[in-house]
Amino acid sequence: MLSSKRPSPIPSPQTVEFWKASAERKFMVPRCRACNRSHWYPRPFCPHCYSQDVALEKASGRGKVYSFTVLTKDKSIVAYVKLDEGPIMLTSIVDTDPEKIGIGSEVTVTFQPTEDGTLVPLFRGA
Amino acid sequence: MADDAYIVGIFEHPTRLATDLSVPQLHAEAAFGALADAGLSMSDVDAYYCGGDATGLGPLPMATYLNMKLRHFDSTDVGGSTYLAHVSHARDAIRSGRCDVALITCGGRPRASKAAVVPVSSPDMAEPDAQFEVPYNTNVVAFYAMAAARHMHEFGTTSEQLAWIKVAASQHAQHNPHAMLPKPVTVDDVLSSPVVASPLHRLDCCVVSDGGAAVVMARSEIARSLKRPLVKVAGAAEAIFHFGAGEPHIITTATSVSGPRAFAEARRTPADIKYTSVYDSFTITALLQIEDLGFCKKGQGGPFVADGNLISGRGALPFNTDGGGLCNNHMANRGGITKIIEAVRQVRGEAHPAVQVKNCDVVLANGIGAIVGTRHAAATLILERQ
Ligand SMILES: [Zn+2]
Repeated sequence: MLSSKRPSPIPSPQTVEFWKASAERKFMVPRCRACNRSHWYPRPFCPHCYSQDVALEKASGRGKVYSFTVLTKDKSIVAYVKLDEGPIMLTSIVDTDPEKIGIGSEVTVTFQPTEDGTLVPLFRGA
Repeated sequence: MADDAYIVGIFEHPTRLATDLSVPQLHAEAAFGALADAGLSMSDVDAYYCGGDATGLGPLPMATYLNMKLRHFDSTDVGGSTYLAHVSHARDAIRSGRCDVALITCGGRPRASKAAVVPVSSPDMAEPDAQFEVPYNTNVVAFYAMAAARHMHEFGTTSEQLAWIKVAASQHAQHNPHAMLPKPVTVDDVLSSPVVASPLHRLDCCVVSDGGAAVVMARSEIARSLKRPLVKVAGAAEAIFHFGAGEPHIITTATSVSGPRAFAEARRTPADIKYTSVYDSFTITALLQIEDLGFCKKGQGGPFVADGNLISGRGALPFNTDGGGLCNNHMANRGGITKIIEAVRQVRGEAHPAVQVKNCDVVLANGIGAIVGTRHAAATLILERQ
């Protein structure tokens, strides 16, 4: 029910590859080959060192809740998740009892469709 | 020698529901009010500042509507803190001789137009980050709720402590005949109001109101010729924090940069501040700024704001004595200009007698624009009575 109400992302030419992978349930996180650091959200340059030698890598799909909130209106959970790769990502937590998660809880990536069927990465309790 | 800049006129429109006033007219009536307060007229204005709440392309439609003859302008827009940044920019423009009299206006009618729900990001999906935000169905209160949750996790802050911020604002609002929520509330009232986004309750949130407000600034010679208290902009600074490469600042605001810079410029410390306006879109917003301004150590904001410490005449740090955005006015979903205005009332000695701080010679106003956690702009002003 909730998933069908998710607005769809509009990819830019620089993020088509990310969304293509997401459609195949692959969660990609960009990493810079110059400084070896990951970043979020995907950009065609490294926002740490500004090298353009950046590639999407299949991520572990694991992370820990950095903070979260339960919206009363629809019981959905909005969260910041600290990815094992390093960056903190704005996301949703789905298919999870809000009483069973807290800050620091381990979560793993899953995918849900938006209004137009685009699969977006989000997380559920590990 | 660089000239100093002074705030010479202020006006807050009494309306909170502008059914019969257009947005340009709200700006216009606020402008007339602030110029009258200063003892100046529209023909004295040679610089104009407005944000995204003004209709149309930057300053152009309002310049036309008010038939202003301008040689300087700025339409920097960073959300609610825009007008504090405008004071900072106008101060620099006056100092460098680009203009003599600067007018800053704000106004809007989200209540009358029933557009009270603030979109989380601009609907412009070409924004590079929008595609990584909108699918997660978040909203403004969710971001501040996550700030509150993390602050509670790291420092043990409680909902009861946050509620004291609303209680203090409501104690002040009871003396403001124009306040949207003039009735004092208790900690229990806040905690028993419905949770909107855990851990924030409805009463942790600011009001949605229509309104207009304006500020007039002038260079020294003009300011001294007017029959108003002299209010000097002694320190001003801005800073932006954002998500960056995946490092959202959710419990530290850009005030941690703008605050110390403004204090350094004014050669003041937090101990010198007799009154402070802080942006109060939510109780947690105010708490973060109080810490980042150095009124208490990072993480100690909860105990600091509790037990009435923000209530004028009772606590150590009188704040938002007009009732703030939490109880008085958050016009156009932008609470920045009223932060300047109440600080000026206080430093002039013209606040309501029940909330006026004694010997109030140095005050501070701080704003947070947009959203802590994604991207926001802070602006800090230190004002002194000469
Ligand atoms: Zn790099």
